[in-house]
Amino acid sequence: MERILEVDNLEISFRTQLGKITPVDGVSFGLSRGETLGIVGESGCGKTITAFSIIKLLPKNAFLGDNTKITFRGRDISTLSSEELQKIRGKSISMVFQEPMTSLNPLYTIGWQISEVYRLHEGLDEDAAMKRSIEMLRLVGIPEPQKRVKEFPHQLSGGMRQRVMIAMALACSPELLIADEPTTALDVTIQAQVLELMNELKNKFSTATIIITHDLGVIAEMCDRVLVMYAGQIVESGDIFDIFDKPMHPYTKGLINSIPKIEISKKDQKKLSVIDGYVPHPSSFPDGCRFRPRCPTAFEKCLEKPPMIESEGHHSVRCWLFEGDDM
Amino acid sequence: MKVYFLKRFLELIPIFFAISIIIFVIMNSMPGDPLLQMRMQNPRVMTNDPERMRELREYYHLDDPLPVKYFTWLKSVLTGDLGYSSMYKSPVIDLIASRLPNTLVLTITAWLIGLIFALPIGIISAVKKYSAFDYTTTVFAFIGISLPGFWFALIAIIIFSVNLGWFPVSGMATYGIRGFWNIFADRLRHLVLPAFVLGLVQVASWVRYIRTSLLEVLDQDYVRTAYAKGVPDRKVIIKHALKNAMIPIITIIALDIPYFFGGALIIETVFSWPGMGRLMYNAVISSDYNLAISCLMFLAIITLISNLVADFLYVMVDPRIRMGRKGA
Ligand SMILES: Nc1ncnc2c1ncn2[C@@H]1O[C@H](COP(=O)(O)OP(=O)(O)O)[C@@H](O)[C@H]1O
Ligand SMILES: [Mg+2]
Repeated sequence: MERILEVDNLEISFRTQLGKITPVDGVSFGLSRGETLGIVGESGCGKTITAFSIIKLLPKNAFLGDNTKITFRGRDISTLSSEELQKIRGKSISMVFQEPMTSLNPLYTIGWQISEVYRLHEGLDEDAAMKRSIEMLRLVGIPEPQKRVKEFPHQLSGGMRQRVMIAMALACSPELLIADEPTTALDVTIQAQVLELMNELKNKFSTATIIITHDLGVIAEMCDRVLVMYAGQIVESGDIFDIFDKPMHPYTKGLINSIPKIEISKKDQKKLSVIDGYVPHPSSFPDGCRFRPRCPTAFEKCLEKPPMIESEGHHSVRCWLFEGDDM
Repeated sequence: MKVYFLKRFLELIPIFFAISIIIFVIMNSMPGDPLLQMRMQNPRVMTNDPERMRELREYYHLDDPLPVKYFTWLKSVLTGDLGYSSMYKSPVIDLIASRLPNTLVLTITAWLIGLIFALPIGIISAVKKYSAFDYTTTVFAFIGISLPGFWFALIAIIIFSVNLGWFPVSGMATYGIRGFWNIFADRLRHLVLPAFVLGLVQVASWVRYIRTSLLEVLDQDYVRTAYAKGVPDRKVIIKHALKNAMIPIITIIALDIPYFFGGALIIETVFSWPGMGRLMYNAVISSDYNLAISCLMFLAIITLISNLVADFLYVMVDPRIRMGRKGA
């Protein structure tokens, strides 16, 4: 399969009042055409800034490491001029954000906002762009799209707004869609609908997709491959069956154990647990293994930095427990 | 929409009357007997005879109860009779009619100058936050905010009129000039300094306000969405960010209109500009009752109109409010 995205040794730092912090380092992954990759981890693990780095949306006080290389379709993103970047954003790489309530401009109709993409990237005039927008709205399941295009964001519910965001993101059939917690802000019933819609559309457009979430349920629903992120690093990666059936890292196990199951026996209920403690702030990442202070199975060796250890297939884990399993 | 503005306009009427009562009461509780005042100004024609004084008091309704006085006054005001100016010896309405255009020319020019400078400076210092440009304007803005307008006026006169001789020191026109274009140029030369001083005094606070509003908007999620869509930087700032930032900016800029009339009071006095400001200043200084109360009412009306304008513009830009208030 053709690789369209390659993220190599991603290191993201910020200049802050507390000095330099490096919330993400050593993150590498790639994506093939049509593939769906999930990035999962608790809040504050660096998922959003990882996503932003791919289309250079990081805030101004952020900078990337010297060895970081991000290539999209063989081109190094850091060498792109701003005009080239504008041509890629919204056309080849699109993003859906976590907050549908605030991600649309309150002063323009949703029709205007979707057609802006067509006007920019396909050079359509206003009428043609509006027609395409109406089609797109129909595709994302918005009833009466001819009427809806004339409405402003405040007239739509959160779920509808997220559908508009998805319509906008998929308007030019991008090769890569990055969805950052697309359902987190929505009601549970709406979540399921939006996930189903995204699943359907990414198959229809065969869009490579990165789904970012803190919810393993979303991962199970959508993804082929999974990266588990903790404190700015990948701690485990593998295909979806590896992660759910044979989780290795204590953090992954903790995440899986904290998914509520519907059929649950009395005995299992005790095991349902959340992981104690919190994700550390980047200014105070622990030495050695960053998960050590919260890890139920930590031992002396964990005071040293664990390397990424490859197990069978493409299943890798950053944990000393698996030292020597290297193949 | 029309209904909404009609309603807003009608709401102003009771407010107008409330303000007129307040102004009337305050003016009437000022110390000093109008008759004594008149006598001081004109001792020859005024007698000291108690009987004659009583007649005059009756003639001028000076001893009527306050509410009666108010309604008498209101009735004449509403019929267009603003009374007689004791200082200028002419009907107040004529004075205002001759001075108002001069003040409007001055304040509108100053307001536009303020906008023309404040908008780009504020926008650039927000977009280039923490740049040398931003720091420089911040320093100048603080100097501008903390120094009084008359001081700038005097400095401007010293530099541009006295030392450089570019503009006249004061007044609004030179006598004896003929020909439309000559008169126009002469008027313009007289207008430059007072209008710039009056306008630039506002620039400092507007720049700060525009910068803050725009910075707040630039941080919003929808601005990031615009970048993510591939909208070019300039368009993101103008179409997506600035339009949103304009909502609070427009409000402040419209609500500040009365300050220009207040500022004109000082600037007109310094530059001997024959406008409402100087009229008001003289009216208060010399206790010209009819003139002072009319000028105050005029300021109140300007303030109410500015509020209406601010509201109107606000509603025009923001669909959330436009629709929320549909037909309301
Ligand atoms: N603008 C910024 N300045 C400084 N630190 C930041 C900034 N944005 C994010 N961070 C840091 O990056 C870390 C990861 O943030 P984020 O990617 O939003 O996490 P996630 O999406 O996994 O919840 C946070 O701990 C935060 O401290
Ligand atoms: Mg996030």
